[in-house]
Amino acid sequence: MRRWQRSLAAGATCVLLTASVAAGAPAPQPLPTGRAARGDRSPGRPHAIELSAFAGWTIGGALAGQSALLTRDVTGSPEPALPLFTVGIKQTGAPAVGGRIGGNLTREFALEGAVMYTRPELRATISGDSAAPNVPAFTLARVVQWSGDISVIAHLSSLAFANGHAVPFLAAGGGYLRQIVSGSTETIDGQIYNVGGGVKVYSGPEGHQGFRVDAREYLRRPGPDQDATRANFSVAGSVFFVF
Amino acid sequence: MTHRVRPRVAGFVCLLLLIGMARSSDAYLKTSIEDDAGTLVIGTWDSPPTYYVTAQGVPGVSVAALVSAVQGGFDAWTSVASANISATYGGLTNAFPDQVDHQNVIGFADLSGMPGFEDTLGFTDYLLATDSTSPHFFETDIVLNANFPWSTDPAGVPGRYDLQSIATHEIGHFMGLGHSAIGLVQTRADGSLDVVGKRTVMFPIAFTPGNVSDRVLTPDDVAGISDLYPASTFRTETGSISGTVTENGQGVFGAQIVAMNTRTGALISNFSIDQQGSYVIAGLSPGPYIVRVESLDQLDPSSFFDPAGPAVDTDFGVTYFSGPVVVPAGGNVPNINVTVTAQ
Ligand SMILES: [Zn+2]
Repeated sequence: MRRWQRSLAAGATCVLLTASVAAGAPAPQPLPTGRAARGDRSPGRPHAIELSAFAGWTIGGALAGQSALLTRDVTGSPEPALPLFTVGIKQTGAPAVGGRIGGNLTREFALEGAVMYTRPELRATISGDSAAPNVPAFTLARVVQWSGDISVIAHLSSLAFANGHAVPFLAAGGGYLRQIVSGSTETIDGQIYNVGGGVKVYSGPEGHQGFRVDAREYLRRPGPDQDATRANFSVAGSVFFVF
Repeated sequence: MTHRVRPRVAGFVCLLLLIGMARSSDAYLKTSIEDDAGTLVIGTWDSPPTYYVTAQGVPGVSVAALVSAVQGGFDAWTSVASANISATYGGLTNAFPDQVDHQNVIGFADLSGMPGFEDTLGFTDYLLATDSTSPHFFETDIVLNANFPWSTDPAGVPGRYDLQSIATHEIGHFMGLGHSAIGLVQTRADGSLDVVGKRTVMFPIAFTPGNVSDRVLTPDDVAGISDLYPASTFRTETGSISGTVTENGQGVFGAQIVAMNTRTGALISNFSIDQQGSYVIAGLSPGPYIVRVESLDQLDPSSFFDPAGPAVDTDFGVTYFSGPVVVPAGGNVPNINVTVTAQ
């Protein structure tokens, strides 16, 4: 049976660079809305390209645990294996960086690709060992994690605020994740899917740069070896530029 | 049948050849001895052995079924992809299985007249030639106790021991493996031990009659046979961990160390095998591991180590290594050192 592994999501903000709506910038003009006009240079026009770099935080979560299973000494009907102990594994939160490139399909919809890099830890908790009931949690491994995905962005222009300069959006997409366990050649790969959203805040006279906040929940589809989750995530703040 | 049965290793002596109990030198307990110079010598076959099966069945087991069960046991070990060992069936023989005749003989024998063997399902004798630069098995025999009820039914028969399961265990000894301790036991009122669960064919106590689980090797068994007879890729595709087990600054002899792959759950174990408490566990697939150390306090240490050797320390509690253990392919993770405390 195929199961979805739920990883987390949450929100956070991020402190980011310059090029934003911050201090002292002249009051921006309302962004053009509606159908694209000939010679349209607005950031929301079809075929506009948006580049962004982001920094954020991956939020850890429980991964699939594992039990040290013994074969019971039974005959006849099989019984569940006997666990000698069970290890629970949690991926810790960690800083993440990455970049995105997107292109507007229409004023409402854009297609966006992203890559992200982070280095979380795997923490182990031992349970179920009657001979060792209180084993403190410890670091099991450190991992390097890369992910890449493509998402559809839906701009909710009707919910824009701040004189039309802050535009909420929804996002959903899918991609690929690779984790490399430090000290080993072991790689853990899998498909990931994300859903979430955020807000883009356009700045400048024509709104060709700005700041955005994303919050995404990532789901990982277990691979054929039934290795479960090992993916998680995330929140990030970005600066972006529109061409 | 109310009592439990303990297959065990025994030995016999020859002037030119030496016998030994299971000791460990590298990874996994192996059949070994100390030679005259005090060097630990591992017993392996230097060429594929030929074995013969006695032409004597027992109630419930025909000669043909005996041959089939023994061949099934050999197949389990020789089909391990990461091991390079084979064996040849030489045919039937009327030779008694437990005699020095330069033939490797496997068969039933009436052990009722042998003191101390009443509870023994089977045992393996071996002669180890140490008079060459490459110590090797010279002759190995397996005796199966004809006084127990046996079955070769693949589904198992209640009240009857599965011959192929017991043969598979003894053939592990035949190949050079000692015992492994991945299992839980409970003590009965009469002092005998019941297996609650185990995860190695080479556990020194058999499953109950009717259980056929020991026909199939576990990762622990696979690692052991592969370490003895490594296929060309074994050392490059798997890794190892090493370290010490100490108590109050002193090395612990005979501690059981189990490594669990956190991705697959595979369990592979070994023991600390010297006065410094040193151990090595080989044959580990790359990835993160949990390392658990336990004493042999529930089992008979003489099932694992030569009673004439160092005393086995059984007075400490279960302890985990509390740090990252990530095994690389083809490499060793050193200094996985565990400090245990007295119970
Ligand atoms: Zn044995």
